[in-house]
Amino acid sequence: MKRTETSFAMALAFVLVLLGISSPLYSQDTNDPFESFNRRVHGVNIALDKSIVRPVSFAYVENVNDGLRGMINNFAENLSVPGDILNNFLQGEFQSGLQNTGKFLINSTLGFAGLGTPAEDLGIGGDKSDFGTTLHTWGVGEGFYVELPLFGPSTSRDATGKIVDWIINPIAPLIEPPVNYYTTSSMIAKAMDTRVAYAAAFESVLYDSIDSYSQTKLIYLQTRRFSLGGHDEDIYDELYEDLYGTE
Amino acid sequence: MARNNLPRRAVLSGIVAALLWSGSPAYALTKSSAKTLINQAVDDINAMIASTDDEEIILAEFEKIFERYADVNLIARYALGSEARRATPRQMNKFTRVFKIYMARKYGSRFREFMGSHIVVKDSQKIKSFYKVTAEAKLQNSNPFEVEFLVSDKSGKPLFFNIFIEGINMLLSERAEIGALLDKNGGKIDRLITALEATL
Repeated sequence: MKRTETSFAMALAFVLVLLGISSPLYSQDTNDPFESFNRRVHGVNIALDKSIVRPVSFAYVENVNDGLRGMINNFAENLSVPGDILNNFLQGEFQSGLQNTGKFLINSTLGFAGLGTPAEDLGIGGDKSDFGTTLHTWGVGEGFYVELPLFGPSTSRDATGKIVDWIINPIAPLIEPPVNYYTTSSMIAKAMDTRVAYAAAFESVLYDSIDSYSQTKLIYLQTRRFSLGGHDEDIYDELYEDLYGTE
Repeated sequence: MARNNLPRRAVLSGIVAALLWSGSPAYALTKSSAKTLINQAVDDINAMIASTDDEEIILAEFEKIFERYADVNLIARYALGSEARRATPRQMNKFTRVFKIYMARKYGSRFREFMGSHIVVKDSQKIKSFYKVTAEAKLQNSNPFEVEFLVSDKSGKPLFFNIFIEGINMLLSERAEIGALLDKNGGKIDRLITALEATL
């Protein structure tokens, strides 16, 4: 059963990457051929946020003290480090990969399974990463925009990255029930914590904007491109010419 | 008498020159004057954040800061997109006035969340005929983030015409918002202005 799921996911990932290869690496434009479908998903996500995510997240933060939430966040964060390491190496970022390896070993042992973060106190740690970024460094363009149910804004390349990250997660095979129950819960808890920590920003986009779908899309694509280093000078020139005309 | 006149004239012309110099940085948009402009704007914002927590005062204050340091006419025109070419001067005036308040309220309340935070201007860099001034916003409980101001003197004096917050282009966001509101109002500028006024 697990095998068919995996090969289906791999096939899907392959198709999505092919679509991404044909798209430009940097562009100010957004490619959103499935807008009407995405808008429907956006509506579902808004409804989910209003009815479940928002109230449950606030209840969680109000009822669980800061110290415990901090430890849960650290635990979840530590579980994502092996994936970072794998992607660091796939991108040729050996320095980051080694730093993250040190961080994972220290936090998993001295930090009691990642509940504490002694590595950070020692200044050890590399860049966070994901397979979407790896595909970007391999030259795959972002592809088309997609809003995923529950996970929110993404692109065909980054959604592929999520699937691949899930498949290649180095520690997943090591975790058997009931331990995976704790790992999954910690990741959900961390997401809830983020929802509350950035509540004002989330809500101004989701509930105060005139067109929250477009704002979500613009903000996601621009921050993603910015973090991938795609904020190139051409964007400034185009903008200036658009505003003031050419010399 | 005549002997006295000379130093006096020198002093007077000195004052005139000083006034001209301080009053017209427009004639010399440089790496440092672009940085100075943003430093002044940031000082005003920092002072405003520190001085009061009365929302109405902050929003009124933010509107003044926006008017003083930003190329408001141009930003409004850009937000309206291609529709700006079809607008009459009267519509454009009215739209710009309402848009200015809308922007000040929107971004003023975003800055209000930064209570206890601090913005520090870092560097300025020339890009063709304008300047990019980089600043860092330091928040209390989270990682600092990067803010970029684009400064031009095409309007006659140095003003910023765009802000990027962690790569998010303010102009692009506002063009999308105003475009969406225009669509909702059947592409009619007058209805758009009324609707925008209603959101304030």
